[in-house]
Amino acid sequence: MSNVVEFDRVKWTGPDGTRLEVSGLRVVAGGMAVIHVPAREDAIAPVCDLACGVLMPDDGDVRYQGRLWAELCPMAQAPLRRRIGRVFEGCAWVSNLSIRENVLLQQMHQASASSVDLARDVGALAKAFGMDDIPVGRPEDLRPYDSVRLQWVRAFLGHPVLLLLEEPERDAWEEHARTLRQRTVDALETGLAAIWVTRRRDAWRDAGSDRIRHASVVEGRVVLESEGM
Amino acid sequence: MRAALQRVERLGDGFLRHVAIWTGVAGLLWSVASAAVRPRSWPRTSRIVLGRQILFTGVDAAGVIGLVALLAGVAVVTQAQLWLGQLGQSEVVGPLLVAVIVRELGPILVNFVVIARSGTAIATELAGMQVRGETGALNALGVDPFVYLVMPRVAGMALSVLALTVTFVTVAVAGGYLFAAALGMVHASPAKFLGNVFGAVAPRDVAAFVVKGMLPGAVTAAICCIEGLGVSGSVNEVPQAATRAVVRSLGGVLIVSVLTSVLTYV
Repeated sequence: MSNVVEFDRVKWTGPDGTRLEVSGLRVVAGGMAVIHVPAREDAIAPVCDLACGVLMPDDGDVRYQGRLWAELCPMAQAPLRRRIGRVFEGCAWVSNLSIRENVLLQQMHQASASSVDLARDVGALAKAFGMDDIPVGRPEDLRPYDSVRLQWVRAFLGHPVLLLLEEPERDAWEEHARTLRQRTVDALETGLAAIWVTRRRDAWRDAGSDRIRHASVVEGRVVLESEGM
Repeated sequence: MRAALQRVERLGDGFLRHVAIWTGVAGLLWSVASAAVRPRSWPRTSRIVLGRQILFTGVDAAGVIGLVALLAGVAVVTQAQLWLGQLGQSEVVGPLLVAVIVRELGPILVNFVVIARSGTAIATELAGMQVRGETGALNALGVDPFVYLVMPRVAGMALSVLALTVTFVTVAVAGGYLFAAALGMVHASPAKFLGNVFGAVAPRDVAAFVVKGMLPGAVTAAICCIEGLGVSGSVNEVPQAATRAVVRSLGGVLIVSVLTSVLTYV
């Protein structure tokens, strides 16, 4: 299986002093890394931002599909990121767009996506995650459990290569979180790669899948716990 | 001696800072112009933003511009007729209107209204997005903020200001004529009056009109985008960015307008 994301001796320090070291973390097509971030650590977003090239490491390399993010210009990075589904821990929506426009924005920004197909896929995904349809209105009108489910819809839309999920189960009802986990497992079967960053120590521990690797953040370092695949 | 040197140093710093700002604006305009001519730089999302910018800046402002144009036209035509009539020079009213309204007053007043309405809106909207982390989220989703936020706003403002300037000139001249005719200050037929006005328009007036109609709008949008996206994270910076954007846009409009006039007519 080919590597989708690869962290090689990565060191990064944020402007607020947040420190992160990641070495030897590889996520292959069809595989998932579950990274446990304890409450005292503040590394959920940086892990995903480094994986998708929004943050550049101070030292070391992050490769995406064999290419170094640091060697790609912004115009070359953007199309690659449009194939990365993301659930954000923080700001997820553009406030001056409607909810539907927000959900479709990433896919509509590429020329290849057909509006009819997108509308059909959005409807199907919304139903799969327990919603009748995409709500009407602005993102600030959304209740937290709808907001996170709509982030799931956006993340799975357009057959992404990689999923970056920052605490995707927060604010969600267990029934819907179960659907998300099943959907993720199904997507792994089709060759999608994923990084699932969570505050929950027990997340995915009982999955028993050799596709899943576990890691934990300890004092700013991502420590691999299992080799998996 | 030391105090004098410090004063010179401060002056030099200020000059270099302004050079850096205007170089940045010119660079952004060049990037927009070179990207905007490529069809693949216009995904559906950017075309939607372009349409909304034209709607907000061009269509929604047409009423305000029409009112300002009417008042300006009445004032200019009335004064022109009054003074030129007393001097027995009524036939030069056309060239005078072209010089005042078409060449100078129209583009500048339109740009002032656009800065007040749309320039502040762009700067505060983008600054707010920056503070809330929305531009970062866009970037992470592969939606390039330059292509999605900046390019359509600059192009939309340039096209809107040109259209509004045409509207301004039309309303100002027509309104001025009707007002003066109603008061019995003008005795020429509408056709003769319009012939007098448009007969005074030379090809270089058309060229200068197009430049003054498009470039200041693009400069305003570029400045407002730079100021809005330059906010680093505090809500307090949003009004400051808007104020800087307005002041610099006013300066930019005047500089472009004066430079265009000097290069065209001197």
